Amino acid sequence: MRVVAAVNGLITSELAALYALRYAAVHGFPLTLLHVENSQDRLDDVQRSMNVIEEAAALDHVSCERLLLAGKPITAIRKYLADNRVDTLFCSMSRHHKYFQTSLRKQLISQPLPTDLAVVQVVRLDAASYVKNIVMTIEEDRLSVKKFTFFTAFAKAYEADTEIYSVTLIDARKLAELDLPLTRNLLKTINDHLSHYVKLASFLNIPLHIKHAVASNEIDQILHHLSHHNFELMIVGNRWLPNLSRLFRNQPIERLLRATPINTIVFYGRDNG
Amino acid sequence: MDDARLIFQLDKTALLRRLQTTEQGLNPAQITRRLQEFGPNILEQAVRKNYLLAYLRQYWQFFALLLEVAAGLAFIADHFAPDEGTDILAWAILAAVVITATFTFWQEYRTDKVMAALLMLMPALVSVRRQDQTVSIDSRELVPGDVMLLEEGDKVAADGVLIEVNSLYLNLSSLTGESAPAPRDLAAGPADRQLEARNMVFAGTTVVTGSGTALVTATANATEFGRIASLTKNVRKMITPMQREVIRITHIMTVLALSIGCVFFGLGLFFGKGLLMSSIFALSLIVANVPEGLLPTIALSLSLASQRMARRQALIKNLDSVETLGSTTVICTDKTGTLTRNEMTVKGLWLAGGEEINVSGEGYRESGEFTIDKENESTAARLEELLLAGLLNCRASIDQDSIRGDPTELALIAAARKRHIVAPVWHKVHENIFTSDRKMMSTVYQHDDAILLFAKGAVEVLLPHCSGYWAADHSRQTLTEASRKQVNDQADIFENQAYRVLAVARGTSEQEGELTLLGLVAIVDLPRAEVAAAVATCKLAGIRLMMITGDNPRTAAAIADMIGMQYDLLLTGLELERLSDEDLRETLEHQDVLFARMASSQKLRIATALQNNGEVVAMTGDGVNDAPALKKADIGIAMGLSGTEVAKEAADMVLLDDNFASIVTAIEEGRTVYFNIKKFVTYILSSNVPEILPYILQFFLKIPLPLSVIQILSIDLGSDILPGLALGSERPEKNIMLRPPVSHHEKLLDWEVFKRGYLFLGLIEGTAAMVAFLTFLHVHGWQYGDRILADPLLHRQAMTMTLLGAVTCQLTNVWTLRSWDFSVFKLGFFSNRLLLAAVAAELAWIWLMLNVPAVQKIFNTAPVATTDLWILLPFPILLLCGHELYKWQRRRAGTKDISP
Repeated sequence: MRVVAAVNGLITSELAALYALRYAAVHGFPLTLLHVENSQDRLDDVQRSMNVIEEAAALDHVSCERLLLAGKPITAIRKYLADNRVDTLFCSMSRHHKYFQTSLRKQLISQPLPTDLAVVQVVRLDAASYVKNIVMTIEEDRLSVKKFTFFTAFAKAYEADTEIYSVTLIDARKLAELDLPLTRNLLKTINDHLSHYVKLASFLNIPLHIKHAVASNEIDQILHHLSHHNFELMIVGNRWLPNLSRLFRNQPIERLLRATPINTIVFYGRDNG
Repeated sequence: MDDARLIFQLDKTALLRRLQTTEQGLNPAQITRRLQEFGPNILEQAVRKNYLLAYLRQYWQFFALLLEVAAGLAFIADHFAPDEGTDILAWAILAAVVITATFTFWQEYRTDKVMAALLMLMPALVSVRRQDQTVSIDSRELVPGDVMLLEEGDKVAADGVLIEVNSLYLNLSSLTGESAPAPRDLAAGPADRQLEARNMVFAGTTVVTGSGTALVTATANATEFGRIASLTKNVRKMITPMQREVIRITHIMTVLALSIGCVFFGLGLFFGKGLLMSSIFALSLIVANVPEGLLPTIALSLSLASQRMARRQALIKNLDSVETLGSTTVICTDKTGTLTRNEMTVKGLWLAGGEEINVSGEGYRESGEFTIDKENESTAARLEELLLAGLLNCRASIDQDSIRGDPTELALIAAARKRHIVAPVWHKVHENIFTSDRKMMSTVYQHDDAILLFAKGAVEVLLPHCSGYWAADHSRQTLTEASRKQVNDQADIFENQAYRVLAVARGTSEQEGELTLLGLVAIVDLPRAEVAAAVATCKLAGIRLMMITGDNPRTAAAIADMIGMQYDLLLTGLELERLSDEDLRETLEHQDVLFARMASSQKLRIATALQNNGEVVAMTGDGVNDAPALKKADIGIAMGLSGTEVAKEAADMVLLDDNFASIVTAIEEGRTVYFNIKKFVTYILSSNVPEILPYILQFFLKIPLPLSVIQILSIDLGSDILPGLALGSERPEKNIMLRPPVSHHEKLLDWEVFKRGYLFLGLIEGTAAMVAFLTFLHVHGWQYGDRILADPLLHRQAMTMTLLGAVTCQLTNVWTLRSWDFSVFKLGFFSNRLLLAAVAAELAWIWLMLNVPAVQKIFNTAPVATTDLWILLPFPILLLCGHELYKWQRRRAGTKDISP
């Protein structure tokens, strides 16, 4: 098994690869720096980025290799992933929205991959190296073992404090009707369902807190929470969504990624499709 | 492992490497790509509001929908029976819908401008170094890694780490609320967080003085400013008690109207009146039951109240907040500038020779006297030397038109001016800046060939720099342990009296050593004169007071004592951090807390905890970082003089004079408005009965139609509005601030309002209207059983009598309802001028309906002979006497519920 980081020479992809490196180091996986040659990315920049990551990998004692592929990026990557045993593919995303062009990220998430995918939104250049607080947002108690493992890998990598922020979505009218006993029961149920993760975190020596919110708009609530606390990294889960569905379905994650004030990793589990 | 230090802890080389840039700046290719990666430097709005949709949504409200259906039915009825005048009715109903929708939308629109104010703090252009060239670019094009050049007066467009600095001072008030200029340095200092790092600059702040070069580390929402923007736009306000009550009344009235309409529609069909007639009948009853004038009257009444409050220095931005003020149970107030004058004043001096001096005169411009204890011949010279040292070591200035600078320095300048000391024109060589670590500052001057250094600072910091002091005989004596103890003791005496104490010294070299102590200065920000009385009023009115200040606990406690503010517990910011949300809630439930050494960001937590305890919270604030708490509080109160635009936009109320006493005045006005609204809800409800009763009677009895639908609307949207507004502008009743705050559970439409409005006053009015109608018909030869009158004029005249019966009773009703329990004869008939004008207007309205053909045509009225008007006379008198008796009985019974 190996961890793959897609590198395109941009500073954000370099930082995404640094996250990949940390993840690989925790699991003892080798890291593959992958680039598919194309007209947009300058090879000089790509090589320079790879140099930086290799230097960091050497310090972390992680075996690192370069892989240059040719052809249509999405096809080349899919083929590579199909032919090799890859644990997670890390790729960065750009904040800039191109109307008539589908980014590699969107092409990647449009169909389930035979591997986990971590899409990294970098908004702070400094936060890839310094992470003391990590938050993972979930909807109610919906947390897969896979996502939890991904989350704890970063907690261990950075020796960071961690928090699971569970948001229960409820419409404004019901929210107004919620009383204390009702809320208590609701949160108790969620806590009960998450209790084995708390035990697991304790077993792994990871300081984990669970916080709850009941809100009528989950993205506003998460942004508010982020603004109010000093997290350096957020991990959120999402599901694979074909391009066509994306046109018609509400995509709160896109708004979250547009407005997030901290670096964010969106995790797509391989068997979530 | 890569460098795991925080970005502001990196040296220049590591920083450049981390940001992948150079001191010469980025190249065009890098800029293009980073712009794509990080996006433009614009604060992302979480939700872009579509104002057109928001406006259209007003027509989708419960009340509006009901009236729209009614208008639709009226149009359909007009189609089948074009001569009934139902088209006019339909247009009139639609007009009522448009007025209400527009009012409501306008209020929403006004409260939605916080982001615009935030964006005002971002500059349009910014100077950067790119490819070794200095260029001015649109701030939206700034990207991480850019080399940003800062000059005096610049607004900072992004967060960055300084790599060059030249006496740079920033105004960080937009982030920290602290208005004193913050010095910047190339070293971060002992900082764990970016905001504490002295080598960082932040978006949304301004350069007060000096210059610097910074490497951009974060743009747009990733900046500290972006976080605040995000906090501000994502804090959601709870629905106000007034909104809740209006929704409740609307629902009750609508359900009532629909139920009665449906029942009579069914009865109409059952008795064979036909689909069209039954529909028109049901529609008439619906329109009669819906108080169309209620929402516009409430909106107008609140608007008038806000104008009255503006005259009393409280500018209301969100109209619904007027009423919320009446429910306020806790006021969380700042100290500086709100409870105190925000003008530091030197009240005491202590010369190193041992003299104590009291200084009179408050503020920066007042003159004052120096009263000296143990004066000798050198005292005056040493005093003047002390004051001159303070004056020469200041950046602040007081001139004819403006006052600029740090309040402490302004106090020193004001003290020197009281002694008529003017700063000599000496060459300023150097300034050792004040920092929170150094806690002192000094300025070096050259006078002829001599070097003079003047220093001021905290006693414990400056004293070790002193080796001597001016003794009583003006000789320089060595500072011994005993004399140092004497200085410290004197400082303690001052500090125990809540004074901020500064030591002042001078030297004869550029070094901050071997200084000569001149004395101590005791400075205080005195409470405003009106505050003590306002605090006492709050106590009587059952309102809890909590002071939240950044000052030290000792000063906070001293000011609380001065103004008579009682508290059970003193909590500092650090202690608050240690409390869990649950513990904080519990503490605030039982105890009045004085919060000292607080950061502005902690206000939001306090507001939330209090609200979770069921309190209605009024919160004051002035900085940008107060905005979330101001939005969260039930009543956010911004300071008009010292507040930032963002705080003002986020607040519901702006205090034009920054004075705490104005909050209490506003609360008094808010309570008055609540009780006045209750009065005019009763007033409006009581006119519903004479509108409904004629229809019900006409259904069951064999009589002609006593009142047309358009006449109902003429009451609801015509004759009732002005008197209703006049009731809304009644002055506060004498005991308004002796009552407890209006409870969350108290309803505008309670049993008393319903009973008095519908069952007592309304029944009298209904009887009046029907008696007027039937008596008039009877006098003019009508026989019971004639449903259709042969003479249409007679029918119109009879309907006019019904209308007059209702309107004349309402005219009396408005007088008696001026007080809920007290006699109208004690209030004086001329004390509410708006009411006099409203009555005059209503009489004019009656005259128009009786005499102007065009008006008669619209409202189905006709002239009535004066000799017939005697029929109307008994009922207003009956209503007046009946209601006065009712109130007398309530007073006599000593009912607990004597409000309003």
